[in-house]
Amino acid sequence: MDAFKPVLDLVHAISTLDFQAFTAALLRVLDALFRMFLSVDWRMQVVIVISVLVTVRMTMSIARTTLRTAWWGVKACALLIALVKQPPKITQHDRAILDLKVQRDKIKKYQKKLAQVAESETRIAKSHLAKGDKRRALLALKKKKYQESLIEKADMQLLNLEQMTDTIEFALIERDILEGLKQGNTVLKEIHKEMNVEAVQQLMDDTADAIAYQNEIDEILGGKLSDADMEDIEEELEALVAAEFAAMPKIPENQLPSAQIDLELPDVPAQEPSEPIQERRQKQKVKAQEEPMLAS
Amino acid sequence: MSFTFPAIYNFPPFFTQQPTADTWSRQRALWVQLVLSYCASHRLFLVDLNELSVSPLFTNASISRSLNRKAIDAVFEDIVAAGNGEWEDKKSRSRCFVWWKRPDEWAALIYAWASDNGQKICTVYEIVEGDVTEGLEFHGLHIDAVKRVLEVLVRQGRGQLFYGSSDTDMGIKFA
Repeated sequence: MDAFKPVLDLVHAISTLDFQAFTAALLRVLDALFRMFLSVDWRMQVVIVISVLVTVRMTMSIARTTLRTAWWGVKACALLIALVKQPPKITQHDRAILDLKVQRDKIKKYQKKLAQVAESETRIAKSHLAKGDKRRALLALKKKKYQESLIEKADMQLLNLEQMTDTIEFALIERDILEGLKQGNTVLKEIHKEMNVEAVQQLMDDTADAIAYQNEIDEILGGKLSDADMEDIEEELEALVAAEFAAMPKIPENQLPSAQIDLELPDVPAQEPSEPIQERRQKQKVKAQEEPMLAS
Repeated sequence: MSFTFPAIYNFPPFFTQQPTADTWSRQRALWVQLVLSYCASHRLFLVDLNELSVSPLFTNASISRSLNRKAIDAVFEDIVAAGNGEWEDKKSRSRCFVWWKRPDEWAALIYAWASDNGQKICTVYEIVEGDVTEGLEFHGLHIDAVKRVLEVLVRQGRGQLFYGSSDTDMGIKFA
């Protein structure tokens, strides 16, 4: 069992995805194998080497086949993706538009050719004129005029074609719009089906009922409180108030001594003072000392 | 349109296949660059190797040197191998598409144009020669080259090539 311990470690390292443990275990396994290899007879060693080489060779050929299979698998996947990612489908309308556009291209090409011919006719006319062949020059110019009239005609055709293409393309857009509106309409209808008027009315009634029921419950619960417990509550409140009062300091019963100040002032003397002021001051001082100090 | 050749274009040994393998491959790489920029500047899309071998690209008259046909073929092999070229016919190897912009880049440009302008169905001719694409980068693209570009779009699932009632004029429907 001891000989298999490195192998078990290796398996454990693989299962826990611990890379460091894996390398360490692998080294130990290789070390053990190498020791075993050294310990056996040389003939046995030769046999082992040959068998290892054969195994490696076979594994490689298998791997190559596997790779090839994998390659086919990748290709098949790509094909599937291509199938899923389907290019736009070609409809009859598309073909009609393309035909019109192709016709337009053809007319444009034709016009280009005509323009070139007209140009060359001008050149021919010039060269004839230079040679003094007026008749031929005139003919060339006639040809040129004819080409130009053809170009003009082609322009009209072009206009027709482009109008047609535009009309078709616009009609297609309109069809798309209609399709969009239709889908919107269906969705709206489905939503309305889910919430018809009766159901909404029913729901509102139910809600009103539920609210009334809730009120009733509230009333019942509220009433119970006021009937049975209200007296208790009131009593408790009174007790609490009384306790509060007891805790407060007493209001003093006897009156506070009132602070009375004698605000009686001496009268203004009626006659002129006969004594000088100094003397009078002296007298007043003596008088003040005689009087009881009421204010203090 | 004037094209300024790089300095090496006036270096006579550039027109002779160098005996050292390393030097020769470096030389080929320089030629590949030159061919691509030359074609981009002249807007060449499909080149005939016979015609091109006598063009100023491979013949420098001022130093009276020209690259021989064997070397030109080697350069084009490199271009094709790098994905910047495609033989029109793999067997004859006389005409080659030069993708100085790769097909998928062209495809992206065309598709961007089509989706920006709400183009649904176009003829191939319209895309490269029509008035609506006047002034755009892919205007004037070779008609056979653009077909290969559009095939890229088909492979990407962004379009479908089809024919109308005639079998000669192809059109594309953009997704």
